Amino acid sequence: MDLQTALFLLADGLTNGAVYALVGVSLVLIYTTTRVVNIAQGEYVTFGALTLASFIEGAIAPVVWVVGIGGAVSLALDVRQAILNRRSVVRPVAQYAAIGAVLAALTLAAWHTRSLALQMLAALALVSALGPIVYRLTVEPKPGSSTVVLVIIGVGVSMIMHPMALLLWGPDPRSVPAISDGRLPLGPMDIAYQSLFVMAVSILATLALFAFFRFTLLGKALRAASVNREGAQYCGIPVVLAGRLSFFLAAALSAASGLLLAPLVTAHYEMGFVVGLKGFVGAAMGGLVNYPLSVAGVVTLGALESFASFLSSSYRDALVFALVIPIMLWRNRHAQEDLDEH
Amino acid sequence: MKLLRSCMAAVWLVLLVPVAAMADNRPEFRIGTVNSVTGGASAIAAGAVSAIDLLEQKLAADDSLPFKVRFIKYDDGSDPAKAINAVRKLAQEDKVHIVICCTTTPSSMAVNKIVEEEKIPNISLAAAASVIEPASERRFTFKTPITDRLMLDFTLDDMVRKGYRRVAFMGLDDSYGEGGWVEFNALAKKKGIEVVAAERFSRGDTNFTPQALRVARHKPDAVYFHAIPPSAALAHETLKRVGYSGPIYHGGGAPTPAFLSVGKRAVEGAIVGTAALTVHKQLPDAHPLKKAVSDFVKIYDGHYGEGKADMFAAQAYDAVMIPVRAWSKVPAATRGGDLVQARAALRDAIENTRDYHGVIGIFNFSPEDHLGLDSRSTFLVTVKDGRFVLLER
Amino acid sequence: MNTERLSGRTAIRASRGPWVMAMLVAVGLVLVSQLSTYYVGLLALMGINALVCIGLSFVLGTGQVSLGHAAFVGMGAYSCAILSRDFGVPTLLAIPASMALCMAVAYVLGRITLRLKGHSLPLATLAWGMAIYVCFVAAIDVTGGASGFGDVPPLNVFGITMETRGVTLLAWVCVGLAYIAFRRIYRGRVGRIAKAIKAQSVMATAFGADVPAVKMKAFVLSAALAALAGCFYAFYMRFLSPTSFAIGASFNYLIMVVLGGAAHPIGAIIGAVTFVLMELAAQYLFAKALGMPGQMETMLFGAVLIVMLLRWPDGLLTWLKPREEIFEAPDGHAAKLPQVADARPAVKRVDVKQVTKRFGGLHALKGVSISVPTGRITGLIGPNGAGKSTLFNAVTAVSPATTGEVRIDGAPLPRHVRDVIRTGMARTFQHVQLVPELTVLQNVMIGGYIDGRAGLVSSALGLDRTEEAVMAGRARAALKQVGLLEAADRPIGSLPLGSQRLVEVARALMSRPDVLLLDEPAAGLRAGEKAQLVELLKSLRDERGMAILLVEHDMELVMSCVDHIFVLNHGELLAEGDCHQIQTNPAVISAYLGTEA
Repeated sequence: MDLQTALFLLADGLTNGAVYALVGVSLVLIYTTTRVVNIAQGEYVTFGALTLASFIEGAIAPVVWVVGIGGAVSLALDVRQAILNRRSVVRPVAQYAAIGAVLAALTLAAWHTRSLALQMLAALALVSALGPIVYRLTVEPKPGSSTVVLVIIGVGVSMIMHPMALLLWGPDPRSVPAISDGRLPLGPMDIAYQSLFVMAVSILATLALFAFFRFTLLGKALRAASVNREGAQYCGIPVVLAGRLSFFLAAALSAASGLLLAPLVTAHYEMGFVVGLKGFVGAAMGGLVNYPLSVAGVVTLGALESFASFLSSSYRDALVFALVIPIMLWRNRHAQEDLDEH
Repeated sequence: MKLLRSCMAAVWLVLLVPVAAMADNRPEFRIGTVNSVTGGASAIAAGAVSAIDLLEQKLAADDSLPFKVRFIKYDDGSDPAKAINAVRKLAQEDKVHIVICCTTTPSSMAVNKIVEEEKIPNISLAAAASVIEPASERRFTFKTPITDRLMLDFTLDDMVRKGYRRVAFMGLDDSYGEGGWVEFNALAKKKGIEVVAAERFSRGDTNFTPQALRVARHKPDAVYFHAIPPSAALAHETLKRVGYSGPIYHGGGAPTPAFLSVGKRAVEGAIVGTAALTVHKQLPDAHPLKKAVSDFVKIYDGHYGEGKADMFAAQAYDAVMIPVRAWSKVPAATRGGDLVQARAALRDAIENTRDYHGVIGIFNFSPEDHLGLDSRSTFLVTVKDGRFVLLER
Repeated sequence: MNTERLSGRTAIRASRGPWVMAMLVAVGLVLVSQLSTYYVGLLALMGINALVCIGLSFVLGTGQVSLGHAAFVGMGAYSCAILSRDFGVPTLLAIPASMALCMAVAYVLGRITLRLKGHSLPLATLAWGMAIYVCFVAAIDVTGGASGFGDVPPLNVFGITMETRGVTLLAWVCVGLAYIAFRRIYRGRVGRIAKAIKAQSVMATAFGADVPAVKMKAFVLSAALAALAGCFYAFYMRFLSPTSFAIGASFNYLIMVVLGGAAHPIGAIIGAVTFVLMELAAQYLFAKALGMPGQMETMLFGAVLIVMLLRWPDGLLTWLKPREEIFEAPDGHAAKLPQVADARPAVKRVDVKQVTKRFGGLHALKGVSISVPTGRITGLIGPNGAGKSTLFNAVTAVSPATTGEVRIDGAPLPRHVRDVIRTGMARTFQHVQLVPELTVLQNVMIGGYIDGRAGLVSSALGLDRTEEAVMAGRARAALKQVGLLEAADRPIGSLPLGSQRLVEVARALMSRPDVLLLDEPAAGLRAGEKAQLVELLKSLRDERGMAILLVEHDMELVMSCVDHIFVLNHGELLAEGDCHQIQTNPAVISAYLGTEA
């Protein structure tokens, strides 16, 4: 392996990592605010990409139905909850109606427009709306569930969303135009502008989330909600809203990842699963609680993957996953000092 | 507590009863199909499922046949264990006359034993030759897809003719890609071609640069891909991007509309092995395959949309029509008689199918050859101006 | 306590067991021989899954989540197939060899990963599960790669070739044996401590459990069962494809275990059977009745799974609660099992010298010295935040002191929490640490963990009856001492908090300690119970000569039974002396009540 090849691989690894980074960051977001380990996060990537593809083809994205039905069920549950708590029914209905109106407007606009930006926005909005719906239906009913139960619920969500993508869009890959088709020459190699966009968005998102949770009061309140739910409620922190909001944001980030990734690898129903898994592994290397570390984790994973692919493409995944373990051990040891038993 | 227990037991029984109530012997032709509707191989199975659905409707409306055709369809979820269960159920419970199974090579291999045990004919939709070989041990198994071996033989001959001595292989890491690799390696040795590199990638990969780099470094005379879109097109594109400019070949999984729409300009000039389906419009009218293929495309595209017909659908189409035709050759008395004898008669009738102009090719089954295709059914095309163009032999 | 009626009922239940077994065996034989091979094949798969699930259930019972168990099944399947086909090894050797290989790999993996905490462990299991799967695919020369490994020879036992029916029968025989073994394990010493580890691992360690070792044993045992299941799978399918051992399969096993319920091994079997039935039902419903695309089946499955988990997290066992009886001590057996207590010299005193404890910048304890001699009840009091619990944890090695030392008769305190109980010190906890899944009696029996000898094997073989009976007898005696004997067989959750604290005391007494450390035992007790507690403490001090350290807030209780008091304030020792001295000490009064106006 000469220097040029090594550089190529390194650049390659960074690009990989950028792809996984947004998913990794959304996983950290969800974990730090709700303690849910969301294995199904990769599906939002798929849905985001395919929804955009639908708009570009000039069709109404079938995901509209899913959002509509899911939203209706959530509304029904919320209304029931409001009645049981003897609170106003008008509020949830109004909220859902407002959100529904916005989504409908965006969808119609995207359906008729040629503007890529508007289509991306609409796709992003629709798929992000799935996040709180999933939260409402699977986590909110029993927020105190144990890790095992939440992990398996995540598996269940994955079992619903993965075949749904196949059902709604079929197995054929669909093309999505890039924001920019060019490539940036860097010495002997080049990187697609689109990849740079992905990296830029990932870095921005990471910094924003990091700053938000570390320095703002609201961010700290949201973190508190996951550490001690009841205590946070007594302090007036809207715990339920926190959960829905974080799922919304996480879905948005993952969908954005899908939108940006699709031009590079086409939108097809299998694209999200592996990205989600590798994002999860990378984020976990950062302990699932730390944004900068999780980005470092996914980038490390991306680089590992790149080099392992070069060394032996058949054993690539075995090498990468096997190397995850010593990294986790090392992290675990360093985390021991300030971690109490869980 | 007790009430709940008996309710649970009742629920379990209710789940079992419909399963048990299927035994029913009507004078109809029952075809059982097992496809990987869900699971890792679902992309490959989609075309087959569509074709079978289409045929179900078409045959139901067809009054010219002396029997009703009834389809019983199961999903093996890309899991050989489920495939075994499904085939057993079809043979024992649903009492079908013939099984069409399975989408993947591992599932087809797994059900081989069952098919021989139950003495029920099976038409496989898998790509590997090992599904039907050795013919003496696989008396009841046939297949319609062009084997990797047949297609690779044709493709490698082209490479030999053009003087390419050092070739690299890039393929999927699943059973489809692996089947291609095994045949490629064996045939290359036989034809005196040196395999300078062999790289693998996954269907869901987002990045192919490391593998492409490795292949490019060896500066091969030609590169052969054994994959399906989108990875086939994306890897092709990546290979060109890292600096390889030589000829690039593709296997039988590539010639689909998705390959062109994903690859766009990057796959110009690719040489793809395919069946007549891809280029039937460019065949002379006198060509023996022209009629069968055109008819199929008209029906399929008419139902599903322009340009939707692909190889997987064609394979399934042939897999249904061959037994339907063979069944009409079986005497009516045997058809309505003992199931075991009926199945045996059907098997014989299929094996005796000669010169059948299917969509995939011209089938000539025999006791030694349960594929029955020859190089008349294989073609090489190239991508020119975003279309597949037939290469003259 | 009507012992006669209890043992009569136990006798009836015990005698019903073998009849139920015999009936099941008979029904099973009929089914396997008469049904078509389709149904028998389904039964085979159910049996194979059940084997994996029984082991996985136990692992889950120790609080570990494994997302990679399909890799063990695959290893067992491939090694058995390779040994049988390529090396001609007879079945009766191939199966144990595969199991041994799998156990070795599990041991190595366990050593590396079982120490990971929280969500790191599931991730690590996911990682090696996937790595092993990729190796199955990549090692094409050995395993046949993605195209599969065919021509596996049939199972051959003493010259008899077993096809589908035979394999199914054998598999279910193994399931039955595994079930019996695990039922005994769950009921016995290791099962109790496993549940304790899951619920409160600190408490389990405090009573002498080597938590990593127990977890490792459970893990390796489950790998052995998974390998056995894999062998049966290989002989049933006669063809192996790596996709059967991918991550999806691992998830499926987990789903089966959770579906059935992890509290009892029957849950694993129920889960495995129900899973297969549900798949069939879904297929029938969608493919045949409704004619809808196959994806809907998987989606329905996912939805059902989520609903089940949300409404009934205990799985199907929510409705089927098997009851376990504890063996009665045979009459006349003056149970004489050796105890750790007999083997060690009696402790005279515990000395705490100049102990300091810092948490980062926070100085929780500053040079505190107390002593807890034998035959005396020593009280440790102080306002909230004084550092009482910190000191308590330092004395029990849970949170060792930063500087200073704790000595037991001059010898230093052991470094590991689990060795503390062997020195003769037993404790209770400020927040009650009882195992909710066990009964009161079983919770108390945890206190006798270090005295027990029964491990996994002896429990499984049923050789621990005598020991269990003796332990139960001792536990009942301890319960009698705290006045809770009639609550022995009730689930722990049915007791009020005050009584639960007394159960903790009984558990501590079970280990025959010389030093008893009680952390706020009276919180939540009614007046009558408090009086009982005082009597108990006094009798322990007088009749057994115990050294007792009592951390308490209830001044009346403290003053009524304590001989010597230490007062802490802001991490420092404020005063010490007998009751009267403390009550009249001005510094103490001002610390508690503020200075007089």
